[in-house]
Amino acid sequence: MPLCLEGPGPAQPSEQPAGCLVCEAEAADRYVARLRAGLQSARLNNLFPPARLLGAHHGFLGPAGSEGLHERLHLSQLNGLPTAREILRVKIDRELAPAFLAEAAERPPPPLGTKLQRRIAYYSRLVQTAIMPSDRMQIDLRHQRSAEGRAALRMTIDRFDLAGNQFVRYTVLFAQRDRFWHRPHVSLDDSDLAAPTEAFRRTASRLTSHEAEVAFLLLSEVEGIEVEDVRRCRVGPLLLPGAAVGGALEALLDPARGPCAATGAQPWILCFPEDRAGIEVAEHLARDPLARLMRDAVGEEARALIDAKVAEHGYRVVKSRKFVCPAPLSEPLAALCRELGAPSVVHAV
Amino acid sequence: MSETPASKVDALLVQSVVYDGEGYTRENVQQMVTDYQARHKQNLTSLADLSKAHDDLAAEMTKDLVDSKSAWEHVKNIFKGQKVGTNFRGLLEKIPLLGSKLPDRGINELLEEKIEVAQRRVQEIGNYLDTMQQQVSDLQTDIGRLNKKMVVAAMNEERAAKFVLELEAALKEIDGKLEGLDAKSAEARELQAKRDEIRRVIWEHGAKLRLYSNAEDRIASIVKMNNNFLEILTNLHANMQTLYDSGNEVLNELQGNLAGLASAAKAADLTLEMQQAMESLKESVNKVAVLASETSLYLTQNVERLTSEMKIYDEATQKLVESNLAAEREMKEQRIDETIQLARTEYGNFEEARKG
Repeated sequence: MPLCLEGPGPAQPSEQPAGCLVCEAEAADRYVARLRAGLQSARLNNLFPPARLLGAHHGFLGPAGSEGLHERLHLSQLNGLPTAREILRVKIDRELAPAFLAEAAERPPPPLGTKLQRRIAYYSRLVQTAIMPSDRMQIDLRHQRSAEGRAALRMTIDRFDLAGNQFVRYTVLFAQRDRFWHRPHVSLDDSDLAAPTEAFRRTASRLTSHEAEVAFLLLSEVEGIEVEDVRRCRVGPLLLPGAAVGGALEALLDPARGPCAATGAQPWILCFPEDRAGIEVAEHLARDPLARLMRDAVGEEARALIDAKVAEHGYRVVKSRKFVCPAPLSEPLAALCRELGAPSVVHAV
Repeated sequence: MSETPASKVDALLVQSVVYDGEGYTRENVQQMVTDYQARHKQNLTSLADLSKAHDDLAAEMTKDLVDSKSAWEHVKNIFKGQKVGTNFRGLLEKIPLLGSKLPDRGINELLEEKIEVAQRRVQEIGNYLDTMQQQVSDLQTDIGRLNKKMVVAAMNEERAAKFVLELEAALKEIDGKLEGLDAKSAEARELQAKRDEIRRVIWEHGAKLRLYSNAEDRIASIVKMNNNFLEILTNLHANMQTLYDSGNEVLNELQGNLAGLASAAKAADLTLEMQQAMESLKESVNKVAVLASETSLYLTQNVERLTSEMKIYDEATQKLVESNLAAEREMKEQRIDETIQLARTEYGNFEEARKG
């Protein structure tokens, strides 16, 4: 079922990429403003991609954000968020901007209102703004215990996940054992700066495209590494009227009969799911009303395998999700989460 | 009562000829030519850079993809029963940290990189299109301005030629009168003085005549080159707009493939469905590479053509500068005969044009 957007303009089939919705002109600007307001109201902690950078990045989308250079905004039908191409466009523009501006400075300034003048204005604003990295890995040394032959590290991976069409941050706490220091995965220098080897970077990058529990298990298979905790925190989906999310939630998003109907506000729900697998987690907890734990979603045979791994590594899994939505929707949504046995944080815009 | 020759000459000598528009000097006309040459050379350099960028794109799109395919080749061969042992070992080497080789970069990471490379180039083309659109508009304005300048220079040239010919007529009349006079008489001395004054004024306006004549020729050559660039830029803009649109379509395809592939990668790391997605992706990648090569070829051909035209332009300018310098030397020697000849020719041309 296609998502219903506020006032989407008619799109020519040839101009609309598969799996995309097209949002035009003012509707696109309203969409971006709503998304940025949602990000700002989410009060994200540092386990999530930074809200400030997310807001700045999305601020360059749509006609207003791009100084009218892009009259349309393409949204993924998968999760109601701007497509990877839109996100990548801002990143590439920011990289192209310095050289473009330097070249433009050598020519007479173009007349006001021309496309070139608008591009210069857009690029000038963009180069001064920090935006989201689409693929970044950082490893910090937490502590080093030479006596125990261990170095405890924290790996943070920020990426734009193309499969989910969303920004995601993985935070992995792990230890590197001493006997691997002669050929370490992560090298440590005198100033305690940690740098992953290319092999480890590639491996970690491959394994962190999965949910936290899978990433925990796969990383644990890497020799010399002891994984303690993996958290995956995602931004999205943005649920809009028409999203196939099940009866009760779909009813909340109904613009004609849902809680927003009387107020005239457009219903939407921005989700921030978090899943964690860690040895410090006391018990398996499914507190995400929209997702089950892996062990509850697989068959008997696979569950037995997972349980064996749980016993081997001593980890537990917890899933939760926080929401941001318009004020008329917040209380009914919080009530629905409680009803589903997954009380969740709901922030109203 | 008829006007005496002396009073006609006096009137000519005090006549002030007004030239329209800005006052040209040899230096500022030369500077204008030099500035335009530099600007055109800069335009050619940016076209050459763009051509290289497209060459790089074609190479970047195919780089690494060969390596990533090999895992699928191993799988395919195992399924076909071809050298199963060898292919199985090859496949194991592709799995992270099991083999001694550096593990392959994740298929998603590799494909994201491909998309980024292609999208970057498409955006670069988009940026260049904006710049080019402005350049076309600027060139059109500039050509209009230069044409006006050229008309003004031609009108001034005509004015100078007409005046020089009037002075020449007066000079002839004085020479005729002098023939019948005692050279040492007061009247002859007065006429000799006027003759010298006329020669000075001919020299002065002859210089103007040459300056406007040269300025007109130089501006005409700049207009010709600008028109040339305008034609190329207009064609290039249309061509690149097509490539930009095609590039966007291919990127959409690529993106669709990648989303499918990324989902498949979540389900299982090695599946035959991924191989199919990979093949489809390869087609899209090839399309981008072909587009990039075609753009590069188009640019290369046009840059070569423009460069050769620039050479002709440079040579023509050089000849003009040399003839101008030679003319100035002649003027210094006060060889006014040729100046008068020039005035006669130029004015004759104008007259002929008027009659025609």
